[in-house]
Amino acid sequence: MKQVYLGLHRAYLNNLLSDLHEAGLLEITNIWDAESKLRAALNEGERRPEIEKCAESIQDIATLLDVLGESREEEEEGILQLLLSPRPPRKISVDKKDFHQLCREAEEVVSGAGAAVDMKRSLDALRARLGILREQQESIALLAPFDLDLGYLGESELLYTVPVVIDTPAYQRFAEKIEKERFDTLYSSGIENGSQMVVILTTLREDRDRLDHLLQDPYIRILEIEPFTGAPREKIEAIRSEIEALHRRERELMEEVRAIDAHYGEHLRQLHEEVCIEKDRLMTHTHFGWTHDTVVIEGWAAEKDCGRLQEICDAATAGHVFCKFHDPDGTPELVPVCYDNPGWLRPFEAVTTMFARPRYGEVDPTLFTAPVLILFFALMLGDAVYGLIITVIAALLYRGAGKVSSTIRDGSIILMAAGVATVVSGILQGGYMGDFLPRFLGITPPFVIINALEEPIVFLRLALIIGIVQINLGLCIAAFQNLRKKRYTELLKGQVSWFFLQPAAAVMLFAFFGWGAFSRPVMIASVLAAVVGSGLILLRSGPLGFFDLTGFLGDWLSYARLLALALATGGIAMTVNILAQMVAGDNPLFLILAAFIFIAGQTFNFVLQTLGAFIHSLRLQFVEFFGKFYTGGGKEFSPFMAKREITELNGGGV
Amino acid sequence: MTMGTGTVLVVIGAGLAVGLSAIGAGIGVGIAGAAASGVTAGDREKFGLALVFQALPQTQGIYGLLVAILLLMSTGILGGNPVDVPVSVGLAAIGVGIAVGLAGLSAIGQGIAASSGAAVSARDPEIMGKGLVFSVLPETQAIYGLLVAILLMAFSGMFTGVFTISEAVGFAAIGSGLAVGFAGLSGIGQGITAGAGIVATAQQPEVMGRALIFAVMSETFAIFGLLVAILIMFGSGLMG
Repeated sequence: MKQVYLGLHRAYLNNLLSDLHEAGLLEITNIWDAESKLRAALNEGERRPEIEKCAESIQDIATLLDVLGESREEEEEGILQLLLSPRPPRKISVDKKDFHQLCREAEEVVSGAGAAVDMKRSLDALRARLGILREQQESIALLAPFDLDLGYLGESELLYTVPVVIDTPAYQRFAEKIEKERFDTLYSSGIENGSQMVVILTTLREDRDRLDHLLQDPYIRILEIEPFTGAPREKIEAIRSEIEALHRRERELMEEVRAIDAHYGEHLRQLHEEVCIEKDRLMTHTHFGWTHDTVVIEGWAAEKDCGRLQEICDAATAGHVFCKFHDPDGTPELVPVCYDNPGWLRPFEAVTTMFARPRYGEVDPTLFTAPVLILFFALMLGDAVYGLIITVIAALLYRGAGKVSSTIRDGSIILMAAGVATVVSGILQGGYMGDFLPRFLGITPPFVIINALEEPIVFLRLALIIGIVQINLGLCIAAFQNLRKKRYTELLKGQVSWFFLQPAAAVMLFAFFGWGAFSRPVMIASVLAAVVGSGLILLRSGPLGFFDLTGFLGDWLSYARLLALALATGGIAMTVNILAQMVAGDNPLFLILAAFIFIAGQTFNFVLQTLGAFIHSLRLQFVEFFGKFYTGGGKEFSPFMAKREITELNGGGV
Repeated sequence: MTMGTGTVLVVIGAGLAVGLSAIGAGIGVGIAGAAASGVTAGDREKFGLALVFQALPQTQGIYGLLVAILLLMSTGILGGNPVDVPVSVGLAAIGVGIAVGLAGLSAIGQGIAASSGAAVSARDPEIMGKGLVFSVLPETQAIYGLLVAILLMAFSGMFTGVFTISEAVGFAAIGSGLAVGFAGLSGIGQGITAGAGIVATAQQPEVMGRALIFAVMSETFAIFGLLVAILIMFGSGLMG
């Protein structure tokens, strides 16, 4: 990573910014936030007034897109279609435009499509009216059996009439309350409607408040009816006609909005993206340092991109620019980090990022993690059929959603590698849905080298050998980093101590358990090495160094999970096979049940063990391996880059 | 079929293996399931994510089932010809059952960690991978239990059908199982720390490494148990 300083005449700024934005090679830092050495000689830039214009334009376009989006009748893609055969977004070719051109174009299109907003208002009002009419329709339908002129409802010169709906269980209580209130004159008529009573109450006008007070009950609902003279059936008919007319108008308006969408929709989406890009570009002006005529830009670029960056700057300013590229000299934590791996390794960067991005100057562990992650996954799953299924799923994802999503493409590549490795591992372990081949077909699997179920101790030895190799690889990387940074004391106490202790402990353990005989000089050397190694560890961590020793042992034994998971995959698959065989064996009629047990059991085992193999493989990387040399926590390199999702610049930008 | 005392003891061992580990897995899955229900109530689309976390503590139950099946197969009760198992091997089988069964109670801790993982990942799906890593930490104890169980089965001749161990060694195998099994309960403490580690990492992703160190501290006691189990096996002559 290089620290970059660019200086240019302000006349070239827009052109250069546009090219830098399209190239996406430079992370621009805010001179006024960072501890820049140049800030004392520079002035702060003012917020550009064009930003407000962009914000207004974005708001107008977004409102129109919302309106037009509601009118669109797009078929929703199912999850399978989204994963296996998604529709890739069509890119719209656009020309490079300056701010004024863009504004003019946006104004024209917004003005052309503006009628859609009025139509939306009409549609909202129309739909609100439809809602009211439907409620009226329902309320009046309840009153239909009374055959009452609706003109009598509400207040008249002398009377007050109100229709209500009361839950049947509460009706008796309400009737008693009415009785107690002793109204001078009260007419009540009720009809039972399911679990409710529809009641029309009439009293003297001066008693309205008392009656309304009684009606304030959670089990009572007053039916609000619009003023109308005539029978309920007549009103229902009138409402029906009005609803039909409103629906007709709604369809007409929607057609008009759709026509606007067909004409302007794509152009609006394109402009929305272009104006957002323009706004992002303008927002950076306050990050720069200014003099009367010159602008200074500070930032970061990957070392490999510095040449290309220089070319872009020269081309955009006709050579009237100075570019300085320095090695970072400030706080390492502030230096952004970008991965620099070959193409085949890039999908695995997500695994490293899941733990933490490397710090500046720290070894990127992706190269070491990728093959081991796949190896562990394959050893733990260890079934050729399961591996084949994973490979097929990964290939489908790669050809499907992988074409539109880089995350899915990377994930499918990892899955495909894991699937192929599992096929190989499965063949070498003799796993084909457990013991399906010998149990059901009488075939002895060929090419078997090691079967965890038959030779668990051999598999355990293999797991522990792999473990000690990976742990020591971690220690070697840590030693390399300490050597490079000249931290010799840490190298001695943190890594060399273990290089002393491990062989010494191995010799002593072999001698103790009687697995090997060693000469006296070897034993003396081992004891000395053990004392030196333990002493260095205790010097580094104090009494807590004891936990370093148990921790190391724990890390090593943790690799026994390779055996545990391999056993679980094969063992559960075998159990499913035995159960299916037992069910089918008792009675041929139970063959269907046996097939169901086999398919459901194998599917369950496949899903659970695939998940387990992946997570435990990750754990071995993150806890046991990374714990030896890797801290992470680096700042992500975030280049100044135009976010183009639906547009592409003619000529590819710069 | 007539069963000898040895076979009966093997069957008891199988019962201990699957029964004890099912207690752990059941409680763990229950704890994680409670969080999963809450997560799904908040957002139905998070059902799949919550289900993954809930499935994690099931593994201990699977280890128990696996060992139970292997024990039953070693006697021929399941999938083979009945074998006359001596009492000494029956005692070792009880040790096997205790090892994997008690260590399976670590699923309770895994359930606690998984519930944290489900809750935090529902708010921030990017933390899911880290949540899964923290959630599998307390499974190590179960793996140690399974490891000792497999070693006991291998050295007592259950895989080969060649039974040579004495009854005293069979009793020693029970001690071995108790050592790694009870030490496996440290997984509950580890689950509590791992759950807090997930929350801490969600708040500040860069503390993941340190949170992992805190979480693996509890594993020390499981290693003590494993060491003692191996020493018992060695001292009693099981390992030759």
